Amino acid sequence: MKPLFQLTRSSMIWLLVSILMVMAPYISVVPSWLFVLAILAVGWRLMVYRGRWSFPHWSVRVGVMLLVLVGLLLELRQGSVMIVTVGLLIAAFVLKLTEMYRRRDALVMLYVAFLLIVCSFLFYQSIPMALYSVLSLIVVTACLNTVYRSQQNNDIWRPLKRSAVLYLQALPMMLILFLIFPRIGPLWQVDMNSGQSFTGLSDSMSPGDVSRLTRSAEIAFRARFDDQLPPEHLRYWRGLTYDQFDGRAWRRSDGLIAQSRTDAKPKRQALSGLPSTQTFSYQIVMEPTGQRWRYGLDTPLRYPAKLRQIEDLTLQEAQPLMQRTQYSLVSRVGAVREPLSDTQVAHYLQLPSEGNPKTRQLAQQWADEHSDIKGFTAQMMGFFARDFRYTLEPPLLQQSDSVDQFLFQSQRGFCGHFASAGVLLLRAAGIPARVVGGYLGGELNPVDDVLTVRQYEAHAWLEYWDKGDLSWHRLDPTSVVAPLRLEQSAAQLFSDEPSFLADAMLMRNGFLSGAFLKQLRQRYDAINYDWHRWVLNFHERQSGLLQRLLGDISVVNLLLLVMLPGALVLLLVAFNLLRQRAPKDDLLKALDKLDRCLTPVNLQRRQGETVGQFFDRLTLAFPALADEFEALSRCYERISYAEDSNPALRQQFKSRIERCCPLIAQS
Amino acid sequence: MRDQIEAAIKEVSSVLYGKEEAIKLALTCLFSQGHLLIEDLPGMGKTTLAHALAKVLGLDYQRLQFTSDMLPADILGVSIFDPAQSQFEFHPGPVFTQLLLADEVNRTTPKTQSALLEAMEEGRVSLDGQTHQLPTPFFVIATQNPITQQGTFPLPESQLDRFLMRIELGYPDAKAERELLKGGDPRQRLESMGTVISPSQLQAISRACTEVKVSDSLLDYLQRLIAHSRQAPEFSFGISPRGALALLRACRSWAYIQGRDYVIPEDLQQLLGPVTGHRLRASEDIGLTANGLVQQLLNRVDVVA
Repeated sequence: MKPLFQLTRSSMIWLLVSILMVMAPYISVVPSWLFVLAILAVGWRLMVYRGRWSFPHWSVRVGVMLLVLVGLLLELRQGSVMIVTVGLLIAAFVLKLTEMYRRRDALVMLYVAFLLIVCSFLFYQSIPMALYSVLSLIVVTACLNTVYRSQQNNDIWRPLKRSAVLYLQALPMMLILFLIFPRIGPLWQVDMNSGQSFTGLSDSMSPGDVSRLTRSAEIAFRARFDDQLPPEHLRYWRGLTYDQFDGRAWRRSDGLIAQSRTDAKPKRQALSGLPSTQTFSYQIVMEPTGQRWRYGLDTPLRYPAKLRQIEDLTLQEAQPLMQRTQYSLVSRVGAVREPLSDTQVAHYLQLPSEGNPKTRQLAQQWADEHSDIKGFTAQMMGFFARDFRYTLEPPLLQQSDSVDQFLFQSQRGFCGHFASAGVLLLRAAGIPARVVGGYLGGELNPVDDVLTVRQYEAHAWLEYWDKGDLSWHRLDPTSVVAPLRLEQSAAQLFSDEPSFLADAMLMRNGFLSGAFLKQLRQRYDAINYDWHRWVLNFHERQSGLLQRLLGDISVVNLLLLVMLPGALVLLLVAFNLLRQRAPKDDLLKALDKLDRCLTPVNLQRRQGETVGQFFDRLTLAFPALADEFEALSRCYERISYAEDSNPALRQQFKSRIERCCPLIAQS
Repeated sequence: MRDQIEAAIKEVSSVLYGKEEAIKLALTCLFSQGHLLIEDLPGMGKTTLAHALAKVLGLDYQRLQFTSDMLPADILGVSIFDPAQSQFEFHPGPVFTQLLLADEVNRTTPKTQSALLEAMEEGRVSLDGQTHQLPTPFFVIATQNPITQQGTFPLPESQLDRFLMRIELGYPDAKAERELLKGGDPRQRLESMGTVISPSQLQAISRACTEVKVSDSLLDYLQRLIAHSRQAPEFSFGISPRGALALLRACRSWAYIQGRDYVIPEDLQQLLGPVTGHRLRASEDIGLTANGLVQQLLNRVDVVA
């Protein structure tokens, strides 16, 4: 039987609390049977603690660990490597409970607890989670504290207090390190979100797709404008264009459109020639989409180097967006002049060889009536405005000739229906056109002037190319079918539709629509936005901040920034220590001198030894000097304890020691 | 007067062989006007020491064997109705003496113990609304068996505190033992012992003891000891101000007996155990005895700093 390390009662309590707190964030991440394992392990450990059971035999532990490994390997087939790795860590963490023989085992467990706290940031990075992690950190440290203290203490709150004080003391250091510690890029990229699904637009669009998004109130992105905001009817956030139609769904083609533009370097165009009402400068904080495109107003003129502008003027990144990111843009709104080659014109006129005959016929008829494009589009918009209704729950369309069915039978639909039918009509009439997917609108948070765009504001519209002025023009059929969609937020417009925000009951039922709650939510959103800008993505502004603080960033300056506060603290401590120490009197100095002589022979004065006993001991070691030591001893006694203030005695004491030292060194 | 002290020590040594240290401590205690507690196993000479001291100091002496069925009245005395004068008359108990040997004080019940201890502290006895002054000087030399022995009521801390010192006698060394075995029964010699220090001389010695010098360096050391006992985790509680005063008082007498008119740290180290040993207690999980605790205290605190 190995010697048993006995956890004290408060250790046990804090260990349980630590386990609970550390594991709680993982409850929706790792497979739930791990939690059953955790409960079993904790139960077993409690029985051991109460002395009822003993620790499980090693064969049991090995068996359980093998089972866990098999379970996690099976899990690997559906989950990501990351989740399985964390699961393994958790399993080892809780199983360690059943083999806690020594203090070292308890320490290992607590160190893993620290690691698990950090790992939870892989999955969540919100403010509440960060606060929760700090709390967990304090609790685990409290537990660490109890493990190191063998003394049984009934006050179980004291370790917590002590640990909280520790962290408070460490806070200034933490802030300094946060400010200046260089952010080193990861050595390897962890593919966190493979297998995770995102809400948002995808690279193909069939007419019903967008209405699915209106069920969600998740944030798509936030935008903050540097000077003025674009008016509501210009808040068209382009994401991607769909240029290929297969008779039912619209897709973006991989060929022509996905190529980088020839002038695809980040543009530094002169903006001076443009009217200020047409250019907007803004930052976007975009939620992960798992896709490569980014959102922006019509034509981005300036954009970060890591993005590239492709053929249809939208922005793309090399990698799918897996984490929240931030970027700055300058955009111009309005029609954009863009001469098209013949291939491009042909590309934007592509249609399936057959299908939707009635639509094609109608387009032909309108094209005959109107020789110019303006007339044609006016005719089309009039047609939509007259007979159509805008709804989130259009009737299902059949597989073939769906546009025909929409235009001539159901006549009810959502933005996707209108955009797709519109492009079909335009192309059938020989006008190059494409469907654009993105968002329309955004809710302005008055607290920090940030425009928040949510999934339910997803929108689709179309763009056509006018060969007269060689420009792309935006056309939004929704604007004539449901003009309010441009002026009101989607939330107001759709509030009557039963399927709107079906997945976000809280928002739908108006719990958050009361004035006070709304304000609260807006404030929370603002804090969240700053949290992202200043904490999570601090590395993006760190260098700028340091530059402003230090003038220029050099190793010397950085070291100074770290060392100056440290030196200041040390100086204060030193000052405090020095102030408390009374000046030594000359007798003590003389004794110290004697001590130094005796250091080589290791006979220094010991703690708790009186001066008399000290000299007695020396007499034994150096019998030749017995008389000297006797006299010294008596001398010291007279001065210190008989309070003989004769200065000759002091002098005698010092000179005798001076005399003794070389003699001691000789012998 | 020093000679008389020497003579007294010698006289007591003639019945208690090889215990000069304990005799000096006992005298120190009496010179400091404090009560003495001797703790040891039966048959170690506790009673002999007390008896010899009473003889040598020429004090009026009473011995009281404590038993478990003793009542306070057995110590303090009792008022009995006198039909002739038709009033109560107080019959003083054995406590009305100059030196009381309370033998095996921890054998009796707490009630009786506390009756004695009140008398020790106040120097008088209150009974039936009347206060009777005890003679001066009034010393108590109590003996007690180690509390691990059967049939004992350990004295609580508050009552232990009434004793200036607690000393142990211990087995005699081989030489003393041989002497003891060779010689006759020391008790017979006890009878023939005469007074060496008269009560008036005792008073003079006591006065002289209080005039022994205590330097600032010594007080520094004493304060360091006290502070350490109050802060170190080994101690459940530290030395009280009363304990510190008692220590200083005893140190002065001890220095006087040693023939010095000032106290040195060695005196303090010598007396720390007897004076504070019974007033300190180790924290529960340390498992140190009082002596071990005192030794640790002495080892941890710098004499000169």
